[in-house]
Amino acid sequence: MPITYADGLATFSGACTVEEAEPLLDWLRTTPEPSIDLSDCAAPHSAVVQLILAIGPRIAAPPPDPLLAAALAPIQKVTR
Amino acid sequence: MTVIDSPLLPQFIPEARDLLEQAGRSLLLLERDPAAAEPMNALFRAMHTLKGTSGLFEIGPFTRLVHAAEDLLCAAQAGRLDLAPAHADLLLATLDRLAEWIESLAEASLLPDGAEAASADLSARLRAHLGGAGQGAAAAAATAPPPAWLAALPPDVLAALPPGQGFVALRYTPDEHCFFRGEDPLGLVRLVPGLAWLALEPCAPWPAASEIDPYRSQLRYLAIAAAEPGVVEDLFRYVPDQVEIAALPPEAIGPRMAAPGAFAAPADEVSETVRALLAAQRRLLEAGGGEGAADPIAAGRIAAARSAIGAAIAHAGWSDPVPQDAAGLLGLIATLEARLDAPAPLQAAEAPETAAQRPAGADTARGGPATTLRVEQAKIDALMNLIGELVVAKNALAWLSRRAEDGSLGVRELAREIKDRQALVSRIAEEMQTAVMAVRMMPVENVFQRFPRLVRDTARRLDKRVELLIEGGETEADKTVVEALADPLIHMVRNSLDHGIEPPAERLAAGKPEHGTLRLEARQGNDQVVIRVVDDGRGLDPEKLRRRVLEKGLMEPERVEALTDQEACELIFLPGFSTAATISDLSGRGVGMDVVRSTIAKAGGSVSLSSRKGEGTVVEITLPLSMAVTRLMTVACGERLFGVPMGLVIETVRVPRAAVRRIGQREAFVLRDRVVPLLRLAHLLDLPEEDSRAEEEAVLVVRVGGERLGLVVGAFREVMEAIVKPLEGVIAGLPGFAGTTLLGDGRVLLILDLPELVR
Repeated sequence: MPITYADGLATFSGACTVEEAEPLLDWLRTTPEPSIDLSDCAAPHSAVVQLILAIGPRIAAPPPDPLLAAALAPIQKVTR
Repeated sequence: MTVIDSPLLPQFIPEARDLLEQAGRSLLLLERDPAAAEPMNALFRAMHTLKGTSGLFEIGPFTRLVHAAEDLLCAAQAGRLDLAPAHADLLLATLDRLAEWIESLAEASLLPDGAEAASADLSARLRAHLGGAGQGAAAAAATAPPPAWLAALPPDVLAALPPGQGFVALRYTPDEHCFFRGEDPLGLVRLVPGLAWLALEPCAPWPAASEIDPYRSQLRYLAIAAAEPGVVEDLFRYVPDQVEIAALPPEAIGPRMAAPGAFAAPADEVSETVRALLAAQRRLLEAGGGEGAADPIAAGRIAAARSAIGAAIAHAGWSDPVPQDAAGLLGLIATLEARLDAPAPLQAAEAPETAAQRPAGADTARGGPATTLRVEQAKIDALMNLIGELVVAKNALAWLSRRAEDGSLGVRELAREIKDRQALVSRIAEEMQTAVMAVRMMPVENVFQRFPRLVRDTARRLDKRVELLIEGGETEADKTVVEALADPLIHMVRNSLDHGIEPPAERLAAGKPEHGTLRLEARQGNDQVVIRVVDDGRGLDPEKLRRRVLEKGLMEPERVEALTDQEACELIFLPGFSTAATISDLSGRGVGMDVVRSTIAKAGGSVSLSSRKGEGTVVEITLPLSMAVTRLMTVACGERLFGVPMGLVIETVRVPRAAVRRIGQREAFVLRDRVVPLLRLAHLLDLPEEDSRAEEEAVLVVRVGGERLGLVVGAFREVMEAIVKPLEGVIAGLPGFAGTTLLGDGRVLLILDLPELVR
C-alpha cells in the first residue's frame, strides 16, 4: 500500500502509481488540514504530484529527490 | 548511427514489413476513394503501431518520420486535411524510405548513413502540409531563435548552473489524456540524464478541489539538464509535438556561482542505487547459508548476484572483474562499498555516460538476415501430435525386435508384424508430409499485394489509365512456388502495361473504355496453381510477330510460315525477342518473356499465352502446388538409373527400330502422324551406347520448351514420389542435372534437367 492515510497525514512510500490518484483526491477533499509525508516516496506518478500541486496540502516531509522537492516547494508558498 | 543490439529486433523487422505493406495497400485504396473510412483507419493504425514498436529501438530518425506521417494522417482522419494525390505521393515516398531503412536494419542492424537528414527532410515536407502550426517544434528549435519560454526561465536558476558545460532546456506539455495511455510525464522528465532543475506549472489555473479530474493531465514540465539535445529528443521520441527542446546559450548560464549542489544530486543517486543493489546482492548471497550448505538453487543464486553486481559496476562506471564464486563476490561487494563511502564524485558523475556508450560497441558481426516463416499455431500443433504418434510407433519397433530376439515369433508372424508397423509409420509419414506442406503454404496474395502499387506507379509514368482487379488472392501454394512467381509476374504485368494497354486516346478511338483493365487471377487446379494475367489492351499481332522473328533470324522461314496464329503469339517467348519499337525503362530490353518462361520452367511450371488482336492478351502460368514432393519417372540407361520429372513426360512408347528414320544428322520417328525428333539419353550423357539387339527402342516422349521430343532410354522403371534436393557442395552447378534424391535401397538418383540437356 504505497499511500497510508492516518489522522490527517498521508504517508507515501515507494512508487505511487496513477491508481493512487483517485483515493488521494477523495482523501484530500474530505480531510481538513491535510498534510503529507513524502520522505519515502521515490517515484510519485504525475497524476499524484499534480493533485498535491492543485490542492496544496502541508508537506510534512519533502521527497528524497531534491529536484522534486524544489519543484514542489514554491507552489506550496503560493497556495498557502 | 548506433548498431541496434536488441533481441526484439528480429521480431520487429517482419512486423514492420507487414505494417508498411499494409499501409501501402490502404493508401492506394484511399487514393481511389478518399472518403473511405476503413482504409484510412487501417493506414492510421499501421503507422501508429509502427511508431510504437519502433520506439523500442534507438532509431530516432525512423520513429520521427513515422510520427510525422502519423500527424498528417491524423489531420486527414479528423477532416482537417483533404488527402490529395500530392499527399499520397509524399506518403508513398515515406513508406519507401521506411522500407529501405527496415532492410538496412535487417542486414546490418543499423540505419543507413544520412537517415537523420532524410528523416528531417521528409518530416518537414510532411509537416508542411499541416500548415506548420506549432508542429515539428523539436526539429525547428535547433535553428529558430530562442523561444520566449526560454527567456522566462528563472534567472537565479540559470545563474546557479556551472559554466563550461552544455545545458539543454525543455518545456513539456503532455496531452490531457496521456494518463490513459499509461504515460507518466513526470517519470519521463526525471529520466532525462543530468537533470539539474525541474519546475511544474499548471497549464491553466487550478479548478476547485471538487472539480478536479485526477485522470486529466494539467501540468506543464520545465527542466534544465546537462545533456545533448539529441539525447533528450530521443527520450521524448514518442511525443515530439508536445515537447520543446532548446540548447541553452552559453552566455545565459551564470558564471558567478558554481554551486555544485544541484549536480551532486544525480551523482549521489547513482551511488545510492549502486549501494542498494550491492546490499541486496549481499543478502542474496548470504541467504544461501554459505557455500558449504546443500543449497539446490545456489548456482542460480550466485549467477543472479553476479549479473546484478556486473550491472551495478557498469552503472557506476567502474570496470572491476566479477569473480565466479560466492566468497569472491562477497569480497567484491565489500571493496565496492568501501569505494562508495570514499568521496569519489568525479567517477560517479561520469557513470551515465559510460553506460550509454556501451550499446555502441555491440557486435556488428551479425550473420546474414534469416528468412522467417509465419505459421498458424494450429499447424504446428498438428505436427506436434504427429511427432507423438511417431514416437509411439518407434517404441513399438523396439518391442518387436526384442520379441524377435527371444524367438517367440515365427518368421511369418514376424513379417506380418513388421508389415503392420510399416503401414503405421507410412501413414504417419504421409500425414507429416501433408502437415509440413501445410506449414509451407502461403496465399498468393503475398505476391499480388505489391501490384496495386506497381500498377499505379507504372500507369502514371506511362500516362495510361489502368484498373487492376485481383481475384483469388487467397489461393495457397508452397512458399517457394509463391516466391518463384514474383519476378515473372512483375515482368508480365509490366509488359501488359507497357505494350498491352493503349494510351487513353487510342483506346477511345478503338471504341474501348478509357480505362484499361488488368486482371490478376489465381485459382487452384488439380495439384496446380493457375495464375492468369489478363489485359484488354491491343493484343498481339501474329503477322507482326512473324515478320519480327524473320527479321531477327530467330527461326527458319519455313517453320515460321507453318505456325498457326496461336503458335505465332508464343513467339514472344523466344530468346532474344523484343517487340517494342522503343525500348522503355520498364520492359522491352529483349530479356523479357523468355526469362519468364525459363524461370517458371525451373520452378516446374509452364506458361502459355493467347491473344486476339485488338482485344487483349491472356498469359497463363501453371505451377505445381508444392515443390517439396516431385513425382518422378525413373529410367535406366545401361546400369544407371535417372529420374525425369513427371511433369515433362507426355507418354512412353516402344518404337520398332525400323520405324526410326534418319534425317540428316538427326533421328526422328512418326507418332500419330507427327514427326517427333529423337535423342538418345546415353549420347546426351556421354555414356557408352547400348549395343542391344532388341527389336524395339524404349522412347520417353517429353515436352521441353513447348516442343515434343523423344528420348531413347534403356528401359522404363517405376514412377515414384521423391523429395528432390538441389545439387550441393562438390556437385553444385553440374550441368544437365536438376537435383538428387535417395532410392529405397540407399542409392542416389540423379534427376535430369532435360531443358538444359537438349539445348
